Amino acid sequence: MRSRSLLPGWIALAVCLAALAGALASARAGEPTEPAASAAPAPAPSDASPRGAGHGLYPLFEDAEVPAAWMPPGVAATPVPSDEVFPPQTIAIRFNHGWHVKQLKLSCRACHAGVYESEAAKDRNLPSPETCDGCHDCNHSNLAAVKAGTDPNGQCAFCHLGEDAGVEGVVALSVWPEPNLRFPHKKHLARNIGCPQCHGAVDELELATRDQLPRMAGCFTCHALSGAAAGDARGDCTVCHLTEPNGLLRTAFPTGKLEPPHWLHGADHGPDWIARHQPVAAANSAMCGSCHASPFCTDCHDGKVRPRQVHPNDWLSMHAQAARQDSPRCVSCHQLQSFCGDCHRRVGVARDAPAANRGAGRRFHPPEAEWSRATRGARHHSFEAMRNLNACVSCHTERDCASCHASKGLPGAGGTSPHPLGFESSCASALRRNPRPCLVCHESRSAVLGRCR
Amino acid sequence: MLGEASRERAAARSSAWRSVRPWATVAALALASTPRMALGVDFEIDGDVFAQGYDVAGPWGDVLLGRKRFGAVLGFAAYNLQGEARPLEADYSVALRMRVDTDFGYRAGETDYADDPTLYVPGMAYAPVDLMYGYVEGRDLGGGWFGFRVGRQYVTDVLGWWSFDGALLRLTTPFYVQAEVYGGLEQRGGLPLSSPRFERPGVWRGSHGDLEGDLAADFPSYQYAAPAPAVGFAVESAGPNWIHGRFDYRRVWSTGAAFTRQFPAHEGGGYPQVEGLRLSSERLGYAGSAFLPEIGGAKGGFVYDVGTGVVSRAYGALEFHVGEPVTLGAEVDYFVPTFDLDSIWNWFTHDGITTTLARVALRPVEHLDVTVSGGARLWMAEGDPAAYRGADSTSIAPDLVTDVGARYAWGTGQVRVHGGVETGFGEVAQNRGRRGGADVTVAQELVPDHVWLAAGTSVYGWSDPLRTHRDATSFGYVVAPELAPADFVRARVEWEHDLNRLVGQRFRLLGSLSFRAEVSP
Repeated sequence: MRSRSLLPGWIALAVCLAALAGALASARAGEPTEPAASAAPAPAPSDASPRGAGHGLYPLFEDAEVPAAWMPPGVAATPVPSDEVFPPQTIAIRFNHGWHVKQLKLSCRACHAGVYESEAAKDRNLPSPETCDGCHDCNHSNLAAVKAGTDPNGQCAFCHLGEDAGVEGVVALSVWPEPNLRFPHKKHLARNIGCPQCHGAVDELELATRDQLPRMAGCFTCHALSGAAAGDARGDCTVCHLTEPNGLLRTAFPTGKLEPPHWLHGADHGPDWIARHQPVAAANSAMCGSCHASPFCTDCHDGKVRPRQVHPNDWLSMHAQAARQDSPRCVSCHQLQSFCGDCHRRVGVARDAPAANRGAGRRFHPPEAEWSRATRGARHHSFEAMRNLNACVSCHTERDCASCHASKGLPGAGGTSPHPLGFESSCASALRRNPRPCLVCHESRSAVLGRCR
Repeated sequence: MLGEASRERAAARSSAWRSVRPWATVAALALASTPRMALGVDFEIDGDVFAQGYDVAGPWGDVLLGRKRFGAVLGFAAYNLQGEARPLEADYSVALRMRVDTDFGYRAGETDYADDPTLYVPGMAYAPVDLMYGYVEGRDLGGGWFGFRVGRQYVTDVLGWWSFDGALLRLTTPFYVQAEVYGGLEQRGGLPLSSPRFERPGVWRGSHGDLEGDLAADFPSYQYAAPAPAVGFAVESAGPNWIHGRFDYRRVWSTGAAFTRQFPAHEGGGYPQVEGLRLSSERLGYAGSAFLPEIGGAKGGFVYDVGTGVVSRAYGALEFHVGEPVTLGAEVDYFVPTFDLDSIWNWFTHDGITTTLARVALRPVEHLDVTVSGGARLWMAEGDPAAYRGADSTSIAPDLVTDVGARYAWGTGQVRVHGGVETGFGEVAQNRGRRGGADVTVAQELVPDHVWLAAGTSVYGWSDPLRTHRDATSFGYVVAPELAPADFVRARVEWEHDLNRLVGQRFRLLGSLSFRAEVSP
């Protein structure tokens, strides 16, 4: 007898081969950049042809567009790095990475040796000026009195920008603010994660700018482990983002407010976010809780002061029509019997409002002849109730409805059945789960309930 | 020989350990229960005090309520009880928040039947005090496997925003899945320090106060509060950021007595009641999303009300990122009102409300976000009121729904514009009415970290063919200066002035004082 396998063999083989190919490709991408030359680099050539006027000022000569393949992973989702995580920089030097790596055979480590021991993102992993002195004909040992040599490659203006750079020892200052995140370079390098895996192909570029800093979408390539996983590459926000003492993410920065990108679970906090946040919070409230403490939610969902972004000016006057349109949905934040009912009773809208608050002959609804006593027509209350029962319940108590709909309601009332079509097929389970609503309208020994039993 | 010596040393160590183990255990427990404030516990105290005054007019224009509301919220929290906080390592915290909300505009008779029966408002709570939350929490315990929360707490999921008193245990595995299980008592109105906010709609429950004795029977729709046992669990994905899903199940029971018949029994004997354990709600639901950064994504979910046997909510959305600054989307939302199973209204519910929208979100220039959406909301009813046909047919009354929003931010301020129109159209929908308008709000920081000013104006119009006496056009403006004399305190005043033909002019003045202090020894 031949047993049937779950998967045809050729599919299993194809999946295995694809997984192997993927693993090889990913391993290749993850190779650290190997030192391309010995620790003692060759002197910098004095000919300026590859680094002449216009070179080293942009990622590519004359600010040509950098191919996507050379950019950091995730750049398609986030073309520009976050201002809040990587504050804008001022780069007042020219530098040709491609020339140093490919022509001079220098490794990343030759200039950025600090990254191999760096455990914090705020570590300054740029080379000290003296590092340049090893090849360039200059002396930065005393930054108050830097000495330029005679070779063109040792002149201040060879690297430094600014009007008359080097004249009277003045050069334009570069500003590289600390990034606002946690990032241990040492840990990543130790796991064989090479520079290009986060920064892109810097060795193909001239000047490395903010554009070569990592994008969050790229981090998720690895940071997708579940909470209790043994590895550190978990997907939790707090793995990379800075936190406040209460454990929430720090979101306020001088450069702006940190908000989720538009592609993260559709949580883009755009102008209509309040109206659209429910599905995101329903699926992943922990993500919301990464930045927002409970009071942030209670201010709207259980607040005592009207939130303006939900209810604009003069909401008291227009809210009745909004409730009729179920927009916004009242029950998202309000309990109908208490929040709505309390006020409706006080102002005399509700049927069981105090006599003093409800003048004789005043009706909120159309005339009784159309609204309740007439046979069903376009203005009959039954259609409004079927369409939007919540609007009814915000004013009425069960007694109001039972007075006519109950089989034992007010004397002379009709006992009109409000049940939807096909209700009888499910009434037995309803009665079993909770008999109370049945007994509001039906006698416990009535034939109707007998049929449901 | 060496091995033997080694074994002896190991045995000696083991014996020594056995002798000290009880003491070590006691010491460990004592250490765990001793406050270790000096090791990095962070305290946080915050609060709000607010007062607001405004008039509320009834539908006939009379000014009935002169509301003079005063409220206060006080919160306390202590984080990192274990000492220094380290990401992904166990941490413990305590948090609680209480508040009082009162209206000094109440008239005495509204809460006291004996004072003036013609003014008495059944069920009205005067100056309610509630504990919003108060819990002890532990996270990332056991290498990230466990977490817990004990006390009054919120649960936010596809079943809604909910609160209970009890315990929640969270299990997080390395296998891309985590689970929560919880049990306790639902927070219900009328119970100590509780609010009715988290009950299912359909039943008023609370402190009867003045409703005791014979008076209670005059208001049989107002039920007594009693503890409501609740249990639930959730299974949720964990880890990958491009896909996420969460399944939830929750069941709540009602206990105690509840009036059934709303009128005295014809055969005498007053108002019958039911007593004992009965189902209050039983629901399950799922919400999920999957997004690929460079393409777009989808999200969706549903809620099935087991108690009534209906899908009470279903929704879905698709989004496509058409280049970085433009996102196109389509959304559908289906909603059927459902209620506490003590309520009769579950059995009045017939059809759902279905809303379909197309949406565009774009960023035409940096710092400017614009969203535009439009579609239809479909109201269903058994029977056709236009053709006067019976329940063998279903009629659909559509509303046209549009919404436009824009926000431009410049670091120290922003301007927001929001507008929209919702109007019934078609023969069946002619009675649905319309509402439309727009508002503009500008906020600007005037003195860095100290003074802010927000101002806005709005124009809205609405009409309801069933209640033409309520049609109006409203113009309003609001001005709100805010001052922070110190890092830990903020004072805000909000002045709102609205004009429409129903109320003439309405003024609203709101003052609030917020403070927040952090102490990290």
